[in-house]
Amino acid sequence: MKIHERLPNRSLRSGFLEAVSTFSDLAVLEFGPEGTTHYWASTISGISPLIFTSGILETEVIFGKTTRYEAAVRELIQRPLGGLILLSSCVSDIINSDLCSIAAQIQKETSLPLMAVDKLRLDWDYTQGFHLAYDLIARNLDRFSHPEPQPGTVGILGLHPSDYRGVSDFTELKRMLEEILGLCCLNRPDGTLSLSDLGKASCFLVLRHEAMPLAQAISDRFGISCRLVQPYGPAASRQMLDLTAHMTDASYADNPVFRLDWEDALEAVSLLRAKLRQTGSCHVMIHADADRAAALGRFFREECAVPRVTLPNCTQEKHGDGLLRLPSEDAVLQLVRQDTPSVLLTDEVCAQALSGRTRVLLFSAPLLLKRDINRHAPFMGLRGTAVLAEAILNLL
Amino acid sequence: MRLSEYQKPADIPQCCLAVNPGRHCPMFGVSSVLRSIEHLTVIYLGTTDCVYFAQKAFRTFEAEHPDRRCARVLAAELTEQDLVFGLQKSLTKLITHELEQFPDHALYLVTSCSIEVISEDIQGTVEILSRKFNRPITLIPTENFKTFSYYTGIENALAALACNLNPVPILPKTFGVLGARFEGGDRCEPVRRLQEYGYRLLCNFPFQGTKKGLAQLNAVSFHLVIDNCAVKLAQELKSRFGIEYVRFDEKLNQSSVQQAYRKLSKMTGLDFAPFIEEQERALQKKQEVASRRLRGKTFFYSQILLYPFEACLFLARLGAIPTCIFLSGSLDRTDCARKALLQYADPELLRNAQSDVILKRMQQLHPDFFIGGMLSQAAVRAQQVRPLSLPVLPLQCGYEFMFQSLERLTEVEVYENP
Repeated sequence: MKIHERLPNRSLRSGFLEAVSTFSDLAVLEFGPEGTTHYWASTISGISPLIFTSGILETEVIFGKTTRYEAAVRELIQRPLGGLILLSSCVSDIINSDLCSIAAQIQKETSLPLMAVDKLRLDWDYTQGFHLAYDLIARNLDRFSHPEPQPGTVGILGLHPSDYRGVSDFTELKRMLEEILGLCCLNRPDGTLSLSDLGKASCFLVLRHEAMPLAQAISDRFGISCRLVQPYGPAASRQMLDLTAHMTDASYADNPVFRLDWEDALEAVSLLRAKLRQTGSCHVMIHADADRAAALGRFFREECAVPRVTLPNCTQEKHGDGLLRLPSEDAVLQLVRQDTPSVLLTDEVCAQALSGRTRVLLFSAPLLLKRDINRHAPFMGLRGTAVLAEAILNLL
Repeated sequence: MRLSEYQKPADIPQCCLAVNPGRHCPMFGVSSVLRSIEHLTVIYLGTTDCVYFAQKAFRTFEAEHPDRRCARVLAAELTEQDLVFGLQKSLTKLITHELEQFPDHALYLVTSCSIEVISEDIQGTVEILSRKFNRPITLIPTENFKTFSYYTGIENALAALACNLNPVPILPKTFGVLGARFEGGDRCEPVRRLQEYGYRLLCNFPFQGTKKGLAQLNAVSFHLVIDNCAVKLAQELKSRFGIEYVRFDEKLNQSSVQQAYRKLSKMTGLDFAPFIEEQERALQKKQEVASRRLRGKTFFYSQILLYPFEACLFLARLGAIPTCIFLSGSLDRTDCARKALLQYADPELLRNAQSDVILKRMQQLHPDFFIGGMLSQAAVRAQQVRPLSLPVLPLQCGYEFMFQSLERLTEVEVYENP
């Protein structure tokens, strides 16, 4: 048993559902108590219309019956979907419901690709859920319909619209692709892609390590280039533009929009660097998802000349340079109390516990309704750099 | 299923088998009650799927109320090891630690579905530790798969709080309000009436769910129950401390409201007869107006917090005809309203209806009204059906609630072309 005074890490299913809901035509049907689906779906209200539950009744728990669940699957396969995932819950896993057999049985009745995920480990966290989801889609890539590739198009994988500032980050990246490189971004305005888009783009930008198995499968299957990017700060944003230009034969050196954005970003970073220098032995601590923390760490170290950057992380994600691995959120809090940084980028729970102790910039928001905060100004990309620098300058 | 075939909630057919996002869970009903009471330790025990969201709900509440002292809340996350070797050892360690560290806290252990499924004897562990430390430890199981709505969690948490109260002297001419979960319960009609006669409102629970509020639960002369969720608590307080209660939770049952005021008269010696008479007369006039508008009109009913059969009976007595009832949050406590409603109509009963299915049903049955908030007004109007909602927050009660409902039913704009 693990005890948490603050928030536990989100569960594997939570990460799985979050990753899956970035696909606009991929549905999930969970077999379990309705509460878990309800609370996950209502956390990101409006972004997850295809996450369903059949509920589970006492008689089904006692007798192991799945008739009602099977009928729910049959109800969903009538819908115009690209795929359907049968997902177990902790309860159906404990009673050992066999969703793979159900999927195999009902697959005989439909051409809609059915996939099943069951018997999941209790102690895996959401990062493993991301892995599981992207890996599942990668393994089933051939089963989805794929129209002809469209030249001059880019897809973005791994950025969820419910992330803190997720929609605005996505909008900024889309703007850069369109205004600076003259490319068309395949993601919808809310950041989602359809399964058929996976074979359609000229290239993919991948914003999470966990999505790399899918990127690799896309590359192997369709020969589409995919690159992992984390465009925080001018250098990483420019690297994203360079990589995309290279993959699509686009060019942007003379683009006036780029020049203006680039100069603004550099100026904002220069002001931030000067201010950080004034604070003496500056220590920045970034408590965020592994990829993001590592990218921001590079930005602060290399472009802002911050002498000390700490990246505490308590997820099970193995990637991310220079992360300080800690066992739990409670341990992160303890670290911040013992080694208080000059600036802390963290979530509300930590911020609340440290109120008045240090300068805190919110970087993720598990408590608030994500519907609103995902539309705050971006932190990613060239214009996001200016917003991020200004937010930290205001703190200092 | 027709109303005449109904026997128990589990029999009501699910309109949609695949639902998004599904119902609230009773664990969060428990959380909404216990989180704000200081000197409580609440341990949520279950898989991460459950305890993460329970803890998140608590932390959100804490962030929204920075000046309020809250309970100490812990999330105890089940691991693979616990499934294999059992929970008893680690649970004993955790509870022992909490009892020793916080000697003035009452401890509540809230378990989720998974704990029920693994059949661990948590109650046994709790009883042993409670005896050993001579301290109250209360187990509140919250199996989502056994309950019709999250209301059960609120009810059970409220009743559990009553179990740990010690007898205190009763303060004369004082009363409490039970069941208000939002601001405003202290201004409802029976409260105002009693205050006019010098009675003092001492506690408003669970809205003022503080340690002080809790301590005053059994110090009042009587309670007014203004919502369904507090009936069990009132019964518990009556059986343990002999504190009388008056039920104003049957908000659209005219005879129940009348009986409640008569009971209040008997208990306090105050003469509410002229008030009752005056209200009944005014109500009759309002009902006649509403009846002229509603007679022969058909409706779908989907309101969440009222007793559904009682509300439909209220409308049926005005001449409206229920054709379809979508059940979700609350259910009538007795079968009286259902049986009475059968004299007027035999509507279809459904639960777990997704909006597309409700719309389809509307296209088939063409009701005049859609009562409740399960669909957006625009979606209802697009079907040439008039959207309508009765007051929903469980704050008003007595004749006032019926007047407010009748006001809504007679509003001119409701009858304009949808």
